[in-house]
Amino acid sequence: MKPVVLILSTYPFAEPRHGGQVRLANIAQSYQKGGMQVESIAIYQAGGYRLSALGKCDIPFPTTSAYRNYCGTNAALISDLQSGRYGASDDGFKIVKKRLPNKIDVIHVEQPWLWPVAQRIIELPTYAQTRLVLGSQNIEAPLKRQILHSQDYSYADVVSDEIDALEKEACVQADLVFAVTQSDCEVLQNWGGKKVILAENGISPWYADQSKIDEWSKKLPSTPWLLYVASAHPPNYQSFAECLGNSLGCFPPDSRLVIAGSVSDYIQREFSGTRWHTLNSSRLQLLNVLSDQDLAAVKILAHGFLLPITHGGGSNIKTPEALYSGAYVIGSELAFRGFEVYADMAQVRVTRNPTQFHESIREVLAASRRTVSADESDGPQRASLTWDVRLAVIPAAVSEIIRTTEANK
Amino acid sequence: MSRVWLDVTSILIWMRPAVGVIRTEAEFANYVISSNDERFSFCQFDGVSGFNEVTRETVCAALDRISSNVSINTLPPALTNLPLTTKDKTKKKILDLISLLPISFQPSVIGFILRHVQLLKVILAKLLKIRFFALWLIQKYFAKLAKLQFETTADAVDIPFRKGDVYLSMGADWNHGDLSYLYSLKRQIGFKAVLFCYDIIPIKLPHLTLDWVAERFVRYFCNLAWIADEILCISECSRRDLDGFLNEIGAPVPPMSVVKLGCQLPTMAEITVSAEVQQVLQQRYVLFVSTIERRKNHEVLYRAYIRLVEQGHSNLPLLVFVGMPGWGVNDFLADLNYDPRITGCIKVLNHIADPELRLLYNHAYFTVFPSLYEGWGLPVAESLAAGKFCLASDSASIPEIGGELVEYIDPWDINKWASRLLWYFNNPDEVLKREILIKSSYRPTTWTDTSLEILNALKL
Repeated sequence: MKPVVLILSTYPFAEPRHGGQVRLANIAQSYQKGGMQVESIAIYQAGGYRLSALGKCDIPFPTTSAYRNYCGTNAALISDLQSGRYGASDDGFKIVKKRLPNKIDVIHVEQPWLWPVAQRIIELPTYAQTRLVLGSQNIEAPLKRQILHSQDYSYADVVSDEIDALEKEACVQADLVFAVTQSDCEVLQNWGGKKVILAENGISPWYADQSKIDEWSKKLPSTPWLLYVASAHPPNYQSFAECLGNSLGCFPPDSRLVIAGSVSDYIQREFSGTRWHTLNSSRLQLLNVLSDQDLAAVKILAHGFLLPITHGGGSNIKTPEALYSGAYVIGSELAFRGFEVYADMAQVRVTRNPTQFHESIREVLAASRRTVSADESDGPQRASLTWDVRLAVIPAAVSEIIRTTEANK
Repeated sequence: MSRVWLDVTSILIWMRPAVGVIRTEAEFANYVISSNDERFSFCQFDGVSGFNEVTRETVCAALDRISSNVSINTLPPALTNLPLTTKDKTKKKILDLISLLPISFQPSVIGFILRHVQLLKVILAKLLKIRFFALWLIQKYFAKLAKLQFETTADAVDIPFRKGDVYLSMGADWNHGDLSYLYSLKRQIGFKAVLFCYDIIPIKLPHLTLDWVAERFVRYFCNLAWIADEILCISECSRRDLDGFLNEIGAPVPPMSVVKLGCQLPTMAEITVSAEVQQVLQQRYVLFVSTIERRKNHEVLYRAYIRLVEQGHSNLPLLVFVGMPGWGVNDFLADLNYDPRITGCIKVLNHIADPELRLLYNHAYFTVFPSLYEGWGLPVAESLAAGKFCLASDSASIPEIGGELVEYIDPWDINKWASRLLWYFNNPDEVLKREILIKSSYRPTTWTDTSLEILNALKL
């Protein structure tokens, strides 16, 4: 009988879009490839996903729920924390309980938000032997503090302190913790994590029909251009313009910075507040959210990828994609967190200030297009970026704790 | 054999007395034609067909028109000192438009308007009612045109440039050109481009210009930097400003050199002097030549004069402002008209032809130039070329022009302006000494000098 892994998350992952969903979908696959049965319950934002994106046991977190109140206000940007409160409450848990499989060997809690739900599950006699795994995506409390302070929310510090306590508790209680970067591993170990293992972010190779490539090559500039793909997660756009010196004058008149993903409108807003906004508008092309096929075609056509990330924890899930593409990659130091060993690749430019960004962009846009076959020497290095390789450690480590549990019975 | 293409779009379009940019393009075109330099050809840009070759005859005709210095007084001189009513403004706009027509057509057009004034009023009212629709149509047309320009390639139309040629422009391309299009042509064909920077004042001091001007200049100079193999700046100050701006926005910084502009006013055998100018010439006066706009800082002189009047000084020389009223000075012009303290002290002259201007320089007691910022400051050079002392602002490029021959004052310091004006009013011998020094040591830049510097920069 296959071991059963129950994944708890605050978002579904049947149709992954943002970075967190992509990572979790690949974690689920890695468990399946490791011979385990995967069940999942997501306590997701009601109305935020179409039906096909939901798993059969997923539970909506109602928009009108009383659990959305924080210190007497309907607090913004902390629905993840509140999902956990709701799921662990009597109201929420009675729904969770009905959707639990008969047997659970391991509960994998992706990010600490639903940790209180996992705690309630293992309090049930049926699941007393179930082991807990924490899937960390970054150190949440400082990131949340930064986001809330940037919006001037009065509850920024109180909430962040609560998240800090939750995260530390989860880390200490978990039988196994997976981290995305070496620096996160060190933090989690210092908190008292029993077993902290590095499971870095990766990529899924992408392919596109020639017809799609032809279609997009007509819509995109015929001269070299750069691509930025991201979701509307605040660290993906906060300080984006500042990182580029508030100016896209480093792009020639017929080139563009092409933005794909739900971050598009936010990037436009970032640049519209700059002194050189008319110039910047002339150098931007916004594609918004694309289908996988369309996005694959756009990525194949990109001359290079831009990663001007200055905020956020963990590692940027778009960095391995850019590295895997074989095209040029221009990024801030932070964008390469967790991928430091790739920073020496021929196509990579790591920059530390707007001037270096501008210089690198001009240099790359003037350079000949790189093709994957142009430099075979980095083939193995690029292959090591796939999710299969990078997450192989997860089923191995989880199988180990299951074996230990059974041996102790 | 490689050719040098001089873009003469600006002088072909220009229908008014020459301003600095037009003068520069015209003088260089004139030099090329006079020296019969076979390496040069002429081109013009238009938004539909792109770049086209222009014959020397066409260029000569444009140069004749500009050198004839046609100046159409659109309003009676008395009105130039009064704030304009809406009716007057409309009338002025209509007359400005008529002045763009060939001179032979103008009387019949004016006659037609006068005969049908009532009918035209009705038509105008109807047009105003549908102005939004008209604006929408115009916007649609220009959007289509812009798209056409962007998509036009060297293969699609017959572009005269060839690989290895040099494209040279010193015109008002921010108004008449399309640098995105030029950039794509340059990438496809592989010619060399040498372009001009007069100043980046709309970018540096956007509050002193209209919003859209600043925005247009930001994009214009960024694109210019991407196209130019060399940029010719008209002063060290302009070069420094452009270099700083390009570095800030992350654009490439091409090699830049400085070309000094000529400061000779054209001569004419026969001079017709208006009664208004005649009247000024009979008095002791201080001359300020410049368009009347906030940046030029006429206000500091007005305030300095008020201070002197209030201190009880009388018999002050007449302060003569020569220039067209520009944007944002309506209140200031009203002050000049209605402030009783300076009645008879300040005179505004508009539509002054070059020969009259030369006379005004020659007969001035001395000149003033309190501008807040300049890319060069031609009136200072013109003053020195006329052998006249100038009391000038110490900002931007102005000290580059006359060195120690000019006295410099902080353009914001009203008290200093008042005291130095008074000192020179009371010490005519000092003014004379300064004039003698200027005449013995100032070497005016001729337009031939400028042309030779440009040729030198082209490295042909």
